[in-house]
Amino acid sequence: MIEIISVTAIGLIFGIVLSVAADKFRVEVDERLEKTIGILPGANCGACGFMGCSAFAEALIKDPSIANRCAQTYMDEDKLIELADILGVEAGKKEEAVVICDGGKRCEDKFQYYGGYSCQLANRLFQGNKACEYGCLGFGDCVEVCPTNAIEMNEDMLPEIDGDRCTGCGACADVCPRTIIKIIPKESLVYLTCNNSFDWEEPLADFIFSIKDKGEFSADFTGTRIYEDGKWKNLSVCGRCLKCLDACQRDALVFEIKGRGEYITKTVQGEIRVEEDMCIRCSKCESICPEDIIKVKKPLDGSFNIDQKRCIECGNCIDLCPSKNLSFTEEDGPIAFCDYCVYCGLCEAACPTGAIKVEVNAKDALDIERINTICQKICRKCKRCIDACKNEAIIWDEESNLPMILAEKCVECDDYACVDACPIGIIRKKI
Amino acid sequence: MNELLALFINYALVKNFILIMFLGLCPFFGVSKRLGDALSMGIAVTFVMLSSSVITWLITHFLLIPFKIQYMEIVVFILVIASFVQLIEMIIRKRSVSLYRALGIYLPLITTNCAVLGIAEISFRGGFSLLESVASSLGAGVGFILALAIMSGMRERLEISDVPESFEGLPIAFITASLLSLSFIVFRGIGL
Repeated sequence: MIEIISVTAIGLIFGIVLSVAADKFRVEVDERLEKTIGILPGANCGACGFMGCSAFAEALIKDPSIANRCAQTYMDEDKLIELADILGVEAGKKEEAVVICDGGKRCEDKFQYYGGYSCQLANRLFQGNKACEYGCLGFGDCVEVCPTNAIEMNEDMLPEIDGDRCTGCGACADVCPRTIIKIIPKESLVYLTCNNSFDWEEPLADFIFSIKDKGEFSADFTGTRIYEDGKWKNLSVCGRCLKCLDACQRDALVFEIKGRGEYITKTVQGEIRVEEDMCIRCSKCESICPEDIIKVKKPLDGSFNIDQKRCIECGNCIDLCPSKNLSFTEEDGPIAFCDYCVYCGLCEAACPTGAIKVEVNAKDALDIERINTICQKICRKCKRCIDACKNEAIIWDEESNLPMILAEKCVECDDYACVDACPIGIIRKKI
Repeated sequence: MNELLALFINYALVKNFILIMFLGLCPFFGVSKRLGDALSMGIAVTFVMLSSSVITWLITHFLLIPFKIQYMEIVVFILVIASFVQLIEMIIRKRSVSLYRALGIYLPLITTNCAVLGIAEISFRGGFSLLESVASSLGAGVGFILALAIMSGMRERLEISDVPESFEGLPIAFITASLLSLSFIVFRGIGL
């Protein structure tokens, strides 16, 4: 008897203490919170990245757009409607994740990596083992983290996202060290699959640096003045026709007026000067000089081959050639070379179809890093997609040096002109 | 004083609750994925152990023993622990929201933690004095934190290591735990 009484008494005392404490320590709770917690699954699985469903509910009230982090709720239309009722706004945006890399196996390895099987780890070791510093590392951190198992690695060692199962929660985008998973609206039609923001100026600058000591530019623009028959005579051969300035595509030749004032007089002559950093020794000026005072020795010797059938006339090589040595022709085929090639290989690297092959004969030639040897699927910055789009939905993003597809304008397209326009096929339709 | 210290070390290392006595294994596997979570769980458990052992000591010595109803111990202890955890949860929630958030779901889970009941039982059966039961429960709590911290540190490493597919996740954690347990057996040589 005594045991029943004592246990009841203890229970009663604790009950009273607890109820008093509950009243005294009561915390004002947003009533929406309870309701939101009621809708959420309550499994505390943690897939949303929050510590349990109640923490997620709290965050959800602050920012209803993250509803898609909970796959269980997001997949259920009724629950979404209920949630929208409670939170007063439409909960969750209809978004999904896409992979903006098409390299995978096509992207060369920089070195053999034997570390832990994780993108995060691999990325910390010399910025990953892929030659492209923007490309997918392929260890599948995103596959691990996906709460709805929407991501799988395909045979190209690239993550493939199942759009039906993806809720756009962004867990994969957060975990990807290369930030090549992007969350885009579900209704977007196309997306770009490259994130490489290289600039053609960089390989060109590398090339110029590598040929600095080879080749030679020599010209005596100044001449000498001699005293003859009681008069100063100018023996300079250069007639200052300035044709070489026009010919130079790199603005490496400048015309300067030295001496008194800024005017050319009988005694004050302008002088032509070469800027060594800009000159690529293409010898275009040599061929045009009427007095033959410019002598250029080319740094490299080589040859180029062009497969005219493969040319798709994108004009990439013509735009990029530092000596403007290429042009479209009507006779022999689309592309023609002149004699001012410096064998830098930019055209080969830029050619999306691999129609151009540049070979350098010199043994000690420092090959420039050619973009197409890193990965065939790197955006070549030809901007054809921008020209092709009728809706003006693609603009050039100067910051990332890549085309940017504007989601709000990329709607209702029947011809997918940008997909066809891209010579390397890195603009992809969303299925 | 030496005896109290001996009790403390005894329950922290020699009779480590998790690794030697196998009590409180659910948080050991459930909350040992991250070091930070493991530490806060350990601290919460230690706190509950310490305070509930004081209260159960008072109840046993002023209620159970005088009325000779010692066989009701488990019912009473559970009652004490459950209400105590509730009370602590309320206080923490009111006083420190950040601590409440950090402990999260683990706080109510302590109610069902057998290590907490275990230390109350041990101090009751062993006929400990109040100071002794405080020292032993503190030792048990520190041992709990130690085991959780070691385990979570190893599991953080396990996450990224190349484990055979069939062993990934919990299986390898069990194997790790058994090896860890083996190494703790060595502390028996201290002989306190």
